[in-house]
Amino acid sequence: MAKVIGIDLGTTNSCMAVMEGGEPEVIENAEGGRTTPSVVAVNPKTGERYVGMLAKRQAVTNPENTVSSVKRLMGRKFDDPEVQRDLKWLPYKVVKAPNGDAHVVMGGKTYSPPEVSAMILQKMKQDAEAKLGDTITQAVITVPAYFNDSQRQATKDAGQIAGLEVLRIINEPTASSLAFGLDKKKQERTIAVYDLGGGTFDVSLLSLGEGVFEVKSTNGDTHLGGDDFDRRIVDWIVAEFKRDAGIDLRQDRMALQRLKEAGERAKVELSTVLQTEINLPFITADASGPKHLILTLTRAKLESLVQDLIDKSEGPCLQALKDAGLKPADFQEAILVGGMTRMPAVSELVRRVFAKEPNKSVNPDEAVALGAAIQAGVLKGEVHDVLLLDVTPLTLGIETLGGVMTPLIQRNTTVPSAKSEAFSTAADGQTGVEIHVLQGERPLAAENKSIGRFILDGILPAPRGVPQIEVSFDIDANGILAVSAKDKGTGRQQKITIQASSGLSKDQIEQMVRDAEAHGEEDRRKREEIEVRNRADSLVYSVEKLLQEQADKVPADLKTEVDGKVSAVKKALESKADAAALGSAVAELEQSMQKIGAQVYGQMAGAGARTEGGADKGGADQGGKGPDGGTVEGEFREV
Amino acid sequence: MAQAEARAKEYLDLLQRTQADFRNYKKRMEQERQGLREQLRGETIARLLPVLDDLTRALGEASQEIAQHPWVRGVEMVQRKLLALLETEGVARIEAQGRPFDPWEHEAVHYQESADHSEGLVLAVYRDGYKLGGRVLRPAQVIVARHAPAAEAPSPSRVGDDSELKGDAPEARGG
Repeated sequence: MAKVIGIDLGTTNSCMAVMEGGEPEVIENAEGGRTTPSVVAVNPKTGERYVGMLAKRQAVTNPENTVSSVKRLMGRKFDDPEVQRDLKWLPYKVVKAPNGDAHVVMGGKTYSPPEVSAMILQKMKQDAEAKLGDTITQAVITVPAYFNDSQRQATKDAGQIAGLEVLRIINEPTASSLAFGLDKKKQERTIAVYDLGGGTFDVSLLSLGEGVFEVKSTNGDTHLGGDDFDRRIVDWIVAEFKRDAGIDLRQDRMALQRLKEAGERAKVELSTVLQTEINLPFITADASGPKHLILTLTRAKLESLVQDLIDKSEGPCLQALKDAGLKPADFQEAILVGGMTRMPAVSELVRRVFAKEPNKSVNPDEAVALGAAIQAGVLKGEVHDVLLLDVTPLTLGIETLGGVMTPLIQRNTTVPSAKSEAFSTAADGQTGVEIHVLQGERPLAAENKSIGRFILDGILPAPRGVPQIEVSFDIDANGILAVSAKDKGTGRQQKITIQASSGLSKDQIEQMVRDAEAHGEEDRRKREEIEVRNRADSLVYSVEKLLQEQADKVPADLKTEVDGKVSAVKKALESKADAAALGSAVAELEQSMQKIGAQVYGQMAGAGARTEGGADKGGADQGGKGPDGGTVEGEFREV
Repeated sequence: MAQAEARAKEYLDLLQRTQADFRNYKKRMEQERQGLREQLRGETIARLLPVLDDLTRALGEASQEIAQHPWVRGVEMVQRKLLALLETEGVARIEAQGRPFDPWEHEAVHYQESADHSEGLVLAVYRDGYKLGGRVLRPAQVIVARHAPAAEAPSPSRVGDDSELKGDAPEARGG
């Protein structure tokens, strides 16, 4: 069955997504980009048409036939004051159609804005079909909340022209809210959507009740966006250079090009670091020789350069609040959409105006498209309540030798989920194992939450490491964990049922994860020490067993040597020597043990004697054991 | 009873779709994963290209007097080495000079009016572009020839004007 795609048809950039496995995924275009510039061009000589990045690349040589930001003209009349205003700086020709609509001219022909938008949609449709390997005939397309009927109809028309049945036109802020999962809590919510993109700013206040989104008010600035920020940076670089070197780089088109790119890069970097270097050697030259540009731009300086732009967005926010009759305290969520919101200063303004920490959990460039895909999924009946899957918030496992936690189900695993692993006994003749169920991220059992405990007994006496105990964890969709331990030999089984996520709030969970990270290094070391000890212990056991069983094949001097090494390891274990000392004693012992093996096999080759039984096999197992191997006194180890 | 049956049917259908979805997703992920290594390699190389640009620029600015200086020679060798390393990685420079402008491989940063060259010809390369195994890592930034535009026609239907400008026949568009 064909998929329905969600499309964010933006002013500067467009993006598309589709539901896969119950979650929205962005679809890359043919060039490998996750967004596609909303630009279309026609080569006037060949009639060849370009869409997206290709159109952008030839814009400079063909400005009259390159149409960008056509969204500004969708559903509008030529005499619209907005259109008349934009006319002044749009490099392509805008004309009045017979019916009064604003049309554009490309390659000598006239097109309606829906026709141009359709070209963009068509490319996205084709690219999606190529990526998904399936025909696409239906879509959900987003529009700004303030779009009127004719603008919405124009968008629907565009879809139709592109060969897409538009199942629905939804508002961009609503789509974003879906992407942020705000409809899942099944509560009444008031949401502020702050969308600062490449060229436009929109603020929308929504209320969500009984699954229905209602737009309370909208406001914004149709000419405020990331591009303005970029210009400020270039202005500053030019000013600085003029001051230092006395040269006006604005006169040099090529230098300006480099400046623009460097400025954009710097802007992006300063969202994550506090300062960055703008390094442009050989930017220009004068009589005295080549000139270089090197400037440090701090985040603080950048903020001062663009503060007035950021502040410009405050007015519309306050007006929207007024129009809706709402106060910041009325909002449960403030979400950030649009690439420019990555800037800390922008996020800070939102925090200040809406008096809460803004929600940044979804990629701001993709949120609208993802939301459109979710809506598409709902319309196709792909999203059911029963499919709203949860994840287990913390790792689940059991305690094993040395007090470590051996995980069975990792945190953030989608449930339902099941996992089994085989364990064994730690001591010879051990007849029972205790399953201690733990929840948490720390490597040591004691530092995690104990959520259950039971004993499986009746294990037949056997050498340690021989019995096979299968431990299974099974979590159902409700988060109920069933742990069972089964002795594969006797068939005896014990199990318990635990409410795995009981008692821990979201904050507590996050704190546990943070703790684990903070103690990561220290915990890792402790765990390693324990594992080295376990290995040493196992090794001693194997070697002693081996010596016993092969006593007749081992010459006296070798036996003495091995005994000595074994004592060394035992002593290191007892005296709780550090990992390094223990490690070297173990290495010594392993070497000696190999000599025994050589002896035994050597004699065997000569005398054709029967191969050993479990001892060497046990030895080989010990030698090959990964770091997880080990036994616990009275408990059990992994096989 | 009928209700339960209907529900069971619904669940089975859902299960099948989810499984199918999952399988298709796996297939797509596998495809993407194979392309990912190439892509990451390409991205890393692309990020380092500005250094090559600056090095080339630096050498280009070496004045006549110092061009033969051993130190400059040495820096030339550094550039050559970098280019050789890139070539070993499968990176190829995009040929642009003198070719018809092609937005797949070129990015026009400026145009220059010239009656002597056919419209759309790349006159100069401002910054080299590179390909990695057929994929464009970074387009070449070029300066394109343009003929002076005709006087603005009052209505958009005057397509005929263009043909009066052409000196040569339009360049055949390669591939």
